[in-house]
Amino acid sequence: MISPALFLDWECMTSYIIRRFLQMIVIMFIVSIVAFVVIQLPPGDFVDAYVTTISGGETFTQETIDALRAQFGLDEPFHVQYLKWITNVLRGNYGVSFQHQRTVADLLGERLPLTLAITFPTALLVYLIAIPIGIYSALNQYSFLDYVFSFIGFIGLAIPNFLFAIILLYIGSQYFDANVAGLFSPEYELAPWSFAKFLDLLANLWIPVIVVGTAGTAGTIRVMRGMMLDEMRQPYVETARAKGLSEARLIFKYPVRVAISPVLSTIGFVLPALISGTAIVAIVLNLPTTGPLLLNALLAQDMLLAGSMILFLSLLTVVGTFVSDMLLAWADPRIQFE
Amino acid sequence: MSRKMSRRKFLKISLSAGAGIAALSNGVPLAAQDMMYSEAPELAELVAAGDLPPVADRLPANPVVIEPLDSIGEYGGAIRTGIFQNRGFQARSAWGPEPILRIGWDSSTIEPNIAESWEYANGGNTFVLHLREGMKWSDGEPFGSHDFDFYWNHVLTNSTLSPSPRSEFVINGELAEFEMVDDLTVQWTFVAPHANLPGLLSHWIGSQLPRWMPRHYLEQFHPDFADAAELDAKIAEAGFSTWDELFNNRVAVQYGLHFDNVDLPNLLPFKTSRPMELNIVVADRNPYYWKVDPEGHQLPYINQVILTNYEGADVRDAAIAAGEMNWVNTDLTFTNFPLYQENAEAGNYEVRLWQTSRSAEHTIMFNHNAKDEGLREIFNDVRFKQAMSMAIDRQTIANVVYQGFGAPSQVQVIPGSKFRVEEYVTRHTEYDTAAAGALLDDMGLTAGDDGMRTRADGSALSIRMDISIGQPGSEDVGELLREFLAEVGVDLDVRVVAREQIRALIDNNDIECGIWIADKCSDSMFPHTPVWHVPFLPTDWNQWGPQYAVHYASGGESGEAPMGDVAQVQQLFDQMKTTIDEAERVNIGQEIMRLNVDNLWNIGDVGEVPIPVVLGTNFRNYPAQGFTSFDWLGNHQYHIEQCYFEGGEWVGAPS
Amino acid sequence: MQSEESPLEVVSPWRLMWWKFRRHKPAVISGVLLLLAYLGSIFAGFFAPYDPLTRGRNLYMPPNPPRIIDSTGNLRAPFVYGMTMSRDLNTLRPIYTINEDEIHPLHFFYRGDEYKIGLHGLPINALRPLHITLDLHLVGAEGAPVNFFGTDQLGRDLLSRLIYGGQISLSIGLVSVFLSLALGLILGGISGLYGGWIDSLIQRVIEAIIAIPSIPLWMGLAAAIPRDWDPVQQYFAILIVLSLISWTSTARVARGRFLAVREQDYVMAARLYGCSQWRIITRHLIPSIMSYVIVNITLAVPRIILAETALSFLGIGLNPPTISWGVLLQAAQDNLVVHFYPWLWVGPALCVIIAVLAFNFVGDGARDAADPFAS
Repeated sequence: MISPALFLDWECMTSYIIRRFLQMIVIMFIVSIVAFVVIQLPPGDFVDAYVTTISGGETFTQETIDALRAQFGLDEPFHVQYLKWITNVLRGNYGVSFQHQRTVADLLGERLPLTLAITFPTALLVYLIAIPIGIYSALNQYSFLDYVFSFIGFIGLAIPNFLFAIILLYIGSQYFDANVAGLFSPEYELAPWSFAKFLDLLANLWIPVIVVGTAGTAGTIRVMRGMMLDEMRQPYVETARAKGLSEARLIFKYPVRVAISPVLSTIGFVLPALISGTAIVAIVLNLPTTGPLLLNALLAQDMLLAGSMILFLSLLTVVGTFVSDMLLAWADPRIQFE
Repeated sequence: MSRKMSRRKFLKISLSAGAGIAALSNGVPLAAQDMMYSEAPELAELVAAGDLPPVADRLPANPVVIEPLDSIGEYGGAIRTGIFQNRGFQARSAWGPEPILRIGWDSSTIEPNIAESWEYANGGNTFVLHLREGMKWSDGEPFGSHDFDFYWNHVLTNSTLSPSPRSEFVINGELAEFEMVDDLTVQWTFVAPHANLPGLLSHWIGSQLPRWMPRHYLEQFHPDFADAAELDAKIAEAGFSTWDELFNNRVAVQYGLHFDNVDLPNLLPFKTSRPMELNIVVADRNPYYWKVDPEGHQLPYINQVILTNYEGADVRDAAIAAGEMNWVNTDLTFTNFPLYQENAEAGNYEVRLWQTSRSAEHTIMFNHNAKDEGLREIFNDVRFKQAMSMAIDRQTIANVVYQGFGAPSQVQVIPGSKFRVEEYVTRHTEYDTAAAGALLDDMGLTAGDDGMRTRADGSALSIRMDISIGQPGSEDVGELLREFLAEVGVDLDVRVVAREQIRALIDNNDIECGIWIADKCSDSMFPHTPVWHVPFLPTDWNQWGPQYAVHYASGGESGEAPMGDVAQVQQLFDQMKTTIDEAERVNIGQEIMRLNVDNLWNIGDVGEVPIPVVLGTNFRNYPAQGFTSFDWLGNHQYHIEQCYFEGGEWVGAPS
Repeated sequence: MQSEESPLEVVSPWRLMWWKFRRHKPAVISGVLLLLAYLGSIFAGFFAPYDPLTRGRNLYMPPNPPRIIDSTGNLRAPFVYGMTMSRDLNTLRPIYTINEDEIHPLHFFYRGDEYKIGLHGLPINALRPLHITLDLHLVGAEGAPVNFFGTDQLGRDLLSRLIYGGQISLSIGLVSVFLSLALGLILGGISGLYGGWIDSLIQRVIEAIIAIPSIPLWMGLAAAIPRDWDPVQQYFAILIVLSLISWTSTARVARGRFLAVREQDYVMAARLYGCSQWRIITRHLIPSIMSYVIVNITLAVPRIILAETALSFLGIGLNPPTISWGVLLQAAQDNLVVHFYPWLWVGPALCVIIAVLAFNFVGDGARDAADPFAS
């Protein structure tokens, strides 16, 4: 019934990888242009944003505004700004953030480690919880636990992340004396890195991980459950069962590997999505991660910071998609490299 | 709570306290020479260890003596405060902005500060500043005229750093001539008297200039002084590509706060010891701070400021409620008062109700330059604006949005201001839909069967109002306005849009009706920045005459030429700029107020809505009632350096 | 097959599906709930006790439920108690005491606020003449706080706002769900089915779209929407934009499934037997992806309702005075609400949860019913 797994043609695969790599470069080039355009689409530019919001009460004359614009190079035509930026990026210079007057590399370096500290456990947790539950729910459809998981999952989906975050903050501070905001307790805020500080970080990490992970977990459970249900009804499963294959082997041998494919085909961009998509939650929970940095850069039209961050996230996604495709091929050998 | 009682009492307190203390600190030093100076224990240890010169050598020859508000303080403790989204000015008075001149305890009078005194000479055209002898930067280097010279000749007039000169030093289109008279005297000569210069030097620009002044530190980043090869190496090392990027970074241009560069010397009570890192920045006492208390204790009393930059307003407020802060006083909103107050006891803080610089919570502005000819004609008819003003049920706004607080007010100036005329403040603020309807009928805006009015051409009288997103209270007030105006047959189409969007609408003159917080209405801002009362600044939020402002700012090259009272109010502002005589300035200001209420260019809702101020329970020497706003750069008029924690530490400090 | 029920009749497949669907109890109950929700939205004016913008005197009033037993234990016709507002002297916030002496009998088919039949917040001019003005409400009581779910900061009735909010949340959001699904299926399907350069091209386009983080894309594209459109039209346009971005993940999944199924023996066999492409697609490929589609829809519905809140947070979504569940939730993201007035977030959150659960169970039932292999 199932054709024997197609053996992987290594030569074919190498040429595939090279082709994909070249395509990635083209995509990144296109993305860099699109990103630069998209950042500029909202009305105004950084100087407008500076004058309207950031400066906070100061009044500006037109001369000052023109001067600022010249200082930031915003009076130059679009393509000049773009070329300047992209040549610098290619040389490894990501530019200086208008709002922070610090280099983009510096700002990212400050926030990336914590961002990864939150997103990695979250992504891991999502899969560790969601995939087994999805399988269980499918195998025991309409059981009591299936309903419980569905219900909890949907509550997780239906409450907006940031409302959820505010409620958790409230409960945490009123009933558990938890640290309201940020990733460290006040006594460790100013302390240099130590093992105790690391433990403190872990102790404070649970609220963001729960909030960020809930919706993803619920979604993945639903997808996994649905696909498993489909696969389990395939005639081959009956055949295998009739042949006397043990239930556990039967399930993991094939249906799980197929059912997981929608999950795998999105796994590649889970990380970048978590990094940028959690911006709003990070604002509510006061997490010094890259999300709020990006969001504020966009709102302020801080071109170089926003542009470089988007480029960085895009690179992660493109690589992630590639990894995803590889995983897909592993999970479902019928998919060939084309 | 009786609003009137508390207001009268409040004014009495603030005025008498202000008058008394201002006299003491205003250039009348106590016998400072005879004083024995003392310092914080931490500094004494450094002196004993030989790491720091003795306190008497660190202070200027005549240190400024600050009379504490209530009591002599004790050293110790940390101010914990929070801002959000890097909006810096909230924290200015925590650092102590220390402008060149300053505002006194009465929130109105201009006093000496960094400069010991100032005067006008040469028929008023020359402005002279006298500096203090022996004053030092926070790294111990002397401060003096040479620092002003560096700013003027190498920053302000350097075309790379300042492509166009700061307008604060321009009168009648001409930049001032700067002169360094001697080590302690500098002067600027203008083509006409620059009457607002003391006001500007005691305000934002006055607090910003010193950042560009520590020439002994900044010269190494400036091509006028630095060795080209060394400078290039520094630029490359820091990851920048041009020298001005590096220079701006070293000056910590970011929001005018010293968040990032611990090496930049300052003149403030505190100096950054840990730069902004993962949203927290720490500043420690400045050992060379130049102020003492009457017993000779070097100020500040408090050791440290710990500032957290929260990612959003909600989480900052949640942190306040959780008792994580002991000094927060701007960007708090009265609508959130229940939240702060409910958790005050558990959080070891108290909430005081102060006043702001808002003459009204909102100014409602019909665009007199509206693109729609029909609407423009209606908006330019004063009867329409009178009708709109009388159609507003201000008591309901106060009850529903502001917990019962607030007095009906037009957009004039705040209570206690010398420009205030009570009759103007309340004119046309009585709620009278019948009178409003009669005025509208009079104009020929007749109501149809459904009660809604039509314009002369028969089309519906529908006006679009754009409200900026995220301003506490504004959306609710907008909703109430829609209801009130519908009551008299005017359809207000309220839209909530992003701030940047509103900026674009103003710039394109696409506003029909605007609404904004009516702030900056105090003695310390109105004379030089009358944003609501005079259309002069097209880059601000005045939306009743955006094209008049363009016309004024462009010198008549573009925009719409004003006529009648609008032209007159612009001329009065011009006159104010060059009039030094105080009595005459008040007359001019009040005339501007009269033209405003006669024309109702702005329509106010309710004024005197308090603002909550969060202070640690054992935080001392801060007034029970006071003013806080950008107008006073936060509230620097209350001298953060003389505040202290009773017992040497905040009772709620984390263990 | 269920031939035992009526062996002689020829049963159409749709009929068969209906029978199977009916046996799925949660699906049926959810279907009824959804039906009621849609009826409630269409006739919101009748079901809501008040106009959603009408302000009562009571600000931030907690829910005042209808009762049939009074404080002395007597059974009565449905009524509500009166409520007296005062202010907490410490925090100045409104607090309420139930006035047990003041009993307001509820009237059914009560004449109250006027309303127009038609979509609230969808001011389509062409429909104006068709609007009928009515003032008949399901329940009401003269001068009484008929606020079963409490009131908001301006004293507006939360229940009425929830009922009106459903009009937008249950309608235009779904357009984007289906648009993005259709785009994803078609493009993903083509990609998986034909392979070759078409596949390559579509895949690279998808990668480029996915590669750009969503927030800047939303913000940029939303800025391009003409501002003189009314808020609902603008929101609709934003939803179209959203679906133009969000079809990509569906497409990737669809492609993966199609690729897999294409190689399966029975599809090969069907092809060898000369089955038409169309038949292969409809008989083999579409069914194989059906359950993913259904799950996807049930996931997309809450996502799109919640997208309202996220978009509002960024200042590009719906904003008051337009009413939707997302707007109500957005207004509830507030410390004051979480601390003191929880009904303001519980109400809209419950609506979203119930709608989402109902969509999900209906989806489950539909999938079971559509599955030819299910017993």
